[in-house]
Amino acid sequence: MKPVKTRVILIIAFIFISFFSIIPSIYPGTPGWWKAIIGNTEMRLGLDLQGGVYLVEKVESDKAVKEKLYKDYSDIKSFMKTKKIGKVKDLTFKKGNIILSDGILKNKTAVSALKNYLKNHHVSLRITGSIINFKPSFVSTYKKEAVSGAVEVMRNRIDQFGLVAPKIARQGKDLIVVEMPGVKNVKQAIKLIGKTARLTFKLVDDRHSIINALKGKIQRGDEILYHITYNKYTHKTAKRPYLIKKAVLMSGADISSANVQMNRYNQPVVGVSLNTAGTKRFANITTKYTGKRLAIILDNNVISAPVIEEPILGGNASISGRFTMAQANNLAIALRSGALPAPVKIIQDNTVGPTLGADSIHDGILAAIVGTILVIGFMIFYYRLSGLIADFALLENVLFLMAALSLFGATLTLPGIAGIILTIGMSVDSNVLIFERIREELREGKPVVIAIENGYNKAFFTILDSHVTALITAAVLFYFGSGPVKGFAVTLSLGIMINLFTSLVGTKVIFDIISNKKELNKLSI
Amino acid sequence: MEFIKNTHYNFISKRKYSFVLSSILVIFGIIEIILMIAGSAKIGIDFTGGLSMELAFKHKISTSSVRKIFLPSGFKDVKLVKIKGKNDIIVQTKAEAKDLNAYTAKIKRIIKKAFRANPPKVISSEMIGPSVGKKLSEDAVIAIIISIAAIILYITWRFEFRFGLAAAIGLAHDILALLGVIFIFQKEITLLVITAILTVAGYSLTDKVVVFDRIRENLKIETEKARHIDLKNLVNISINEVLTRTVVTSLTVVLVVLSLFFLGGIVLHDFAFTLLLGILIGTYSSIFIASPIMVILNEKHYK
Repeated sequence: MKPVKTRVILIIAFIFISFFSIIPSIYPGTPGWWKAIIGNTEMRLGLDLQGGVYLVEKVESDKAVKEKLYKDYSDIKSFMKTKKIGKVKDLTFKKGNIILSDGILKNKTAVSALKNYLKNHHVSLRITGSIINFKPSFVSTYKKEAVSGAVEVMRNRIDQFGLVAPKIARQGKDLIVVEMPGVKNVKQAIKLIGKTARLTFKLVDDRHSIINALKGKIQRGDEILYHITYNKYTHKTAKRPYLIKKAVLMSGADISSANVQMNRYNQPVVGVSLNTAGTKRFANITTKYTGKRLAIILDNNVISAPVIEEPILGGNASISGRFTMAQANNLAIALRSGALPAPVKIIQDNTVGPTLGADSIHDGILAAIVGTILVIGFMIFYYRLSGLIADFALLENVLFLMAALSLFGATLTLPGIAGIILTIGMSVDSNVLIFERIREELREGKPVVIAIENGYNKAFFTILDSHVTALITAAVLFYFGSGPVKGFAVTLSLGIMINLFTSLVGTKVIFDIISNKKELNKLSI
Repeated sequence: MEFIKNTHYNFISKRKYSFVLSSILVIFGIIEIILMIAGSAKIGIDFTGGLSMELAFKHKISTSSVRKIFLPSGFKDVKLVKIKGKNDIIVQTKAEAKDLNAYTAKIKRIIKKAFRANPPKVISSEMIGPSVGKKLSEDAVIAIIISIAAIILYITWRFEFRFGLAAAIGLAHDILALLGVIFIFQKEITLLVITAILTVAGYSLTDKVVVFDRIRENLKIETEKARHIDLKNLVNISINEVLTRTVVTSLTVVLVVLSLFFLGGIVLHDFAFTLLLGILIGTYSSIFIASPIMVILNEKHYK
């Protein structure tokens, strides 16, 4: 008698767990508690099967660099003003360069004071001739950071909107690829992730007349931006102009978190916490510009321009702007996901239709069913009753594989489906090896029970070695492959590992049960 | 039920023929690789970059009538695929990233103008940048080289170095010969085809391990019995002993791949084709390439 109880319990438990894990993936109406038990994971259909939106965005890192330079330019300018070095015209910003006038270059004390200031406060800047600009090494790292920052922001933003299994990946030097399965409408998708939501804080110019500016007499260093309100009853948008100083005082990068709060009038406001650098910067700004208005600008739209009533040193502030709840919520999301460090342009937007996908799934399932029937039929034809046992292992194999994919939350792509179908064909191979061994033993005249035992033992290392070699290629494929290839590698490796169990344990236990029940003199093989 | 019983084929003696056949396939495979590097092989738009559009026509439509429209339009490399049982046609063409948007608009315009009576709807339009494919093909090459190295190591550890080397040569042969067949049939290299090739790499190895495992076992028995070992003979006996295994295991996979080939739909058609040939090549090379090479390697070692 061979003890089979533990193995039988193990297999039944696995089968039960598998069914339990697969249900949420195939039955959308599965209750929430059920999903929660298996960790809310389910198989998802990839973009190629489900359809969706595919965007390629270009991060305009050049612009980010230019903007950073403009920020530094404002710093230097105010430094010169406070230290009374030179005149206003001695430092200008032209075509992405800070230019020193000839006059100030002759003034040696002024130049050395400037150099000293740059050395202490703006290490990334250097003076070459009459031009102040970034060191090349700084530019390349800054650009790199701008792109990876943008990827993070995108991920953040898309996650906030709760799409199912989106993919955000960096591609090449400055491209971001966004895949959003299930989203049918490109326009809606673009609206969701925000075209170029960039947050900046700038000062409102109260010294000059907005009316003159609107007539075209814009003060140098100023710009006109609008506060746009949409009246949902009249369906009209109202624009209110602001005269804004161009210098960027703070940006979204200074914000660590943002959320919707209620003020004492029970109106929604957005509470903002700043990070360390932001706190310092904000303290400086609010101290220096007490009594002036600070415009909060998102994508060149003035969201609100509150008056700075007192210096804020603690790093917490709230933005009020007669928001509706939804507006406040969106603003908080935009702030939380951080404004983009660099502007982002969409260069490709595609809709992938699910029609081809639906056909593919349908055809794939049909091929899988027919393939399974063929293999099952062949095994019974060739190995009789033993073939039936191998078929049981085959079904087990498919079941476990689907369960594993569900539990991993795998994204099912077309190559993935092919991988599953292939597993069906390969899953009986181990049993073929074992059965042929058993036949050899029987031919040598060994008794059935011993032949089975020997068959399994002798085939064990063959199966192990062949599985490990196959697993090596699958693992390498997973490590170096990307996108759909990776998904395929996962399916294949899982299939191989599961197959080791089902073929060595799953079928052996049935033979053991049979030989326990009655004396085996003949084996149907 | 048994197909093959007590065979005594002399496989090793046939190696001259198999080496010639394989050399031809491998040379074609190398040509295909050179063409791929040179950019003149038939490569799918997922590697070159381009656009793919699925058009749903209101009424019946034939690819030839659509092709006629494209001939005078200046689009040279237009690939048209008709979806079975539907009035849908997939239009694919290679294009550089900067032209993608313009091309899409142009194709839409051409089609709309030509089929006023049978207006098509654009169900999907996909634009693929070439950098996706470039990275993928680089990844695939690295993956193949590293897996070959890893397999030599593993088999050397479990068997002997000559087995590892022979398996690796066999694997390289399978991949190159498969590319050779792809070249002969002028199939397009797509992402799915690459995936199929990598799968074949894994599968053909399991096949070789089965044969090598038996050679290893027989070697052990013979050494224990202190008999004079004629390796050629021993390898022959071993191959014959596991012949059923080799054939049946391949057959079960071929059964599913065939159903994938005939029923799996147009998208998986080339994938299944590559797999099918790959499995046949892998099985063939376990017997006719990897095993004889093992014998040759051995002769060089000991004589």
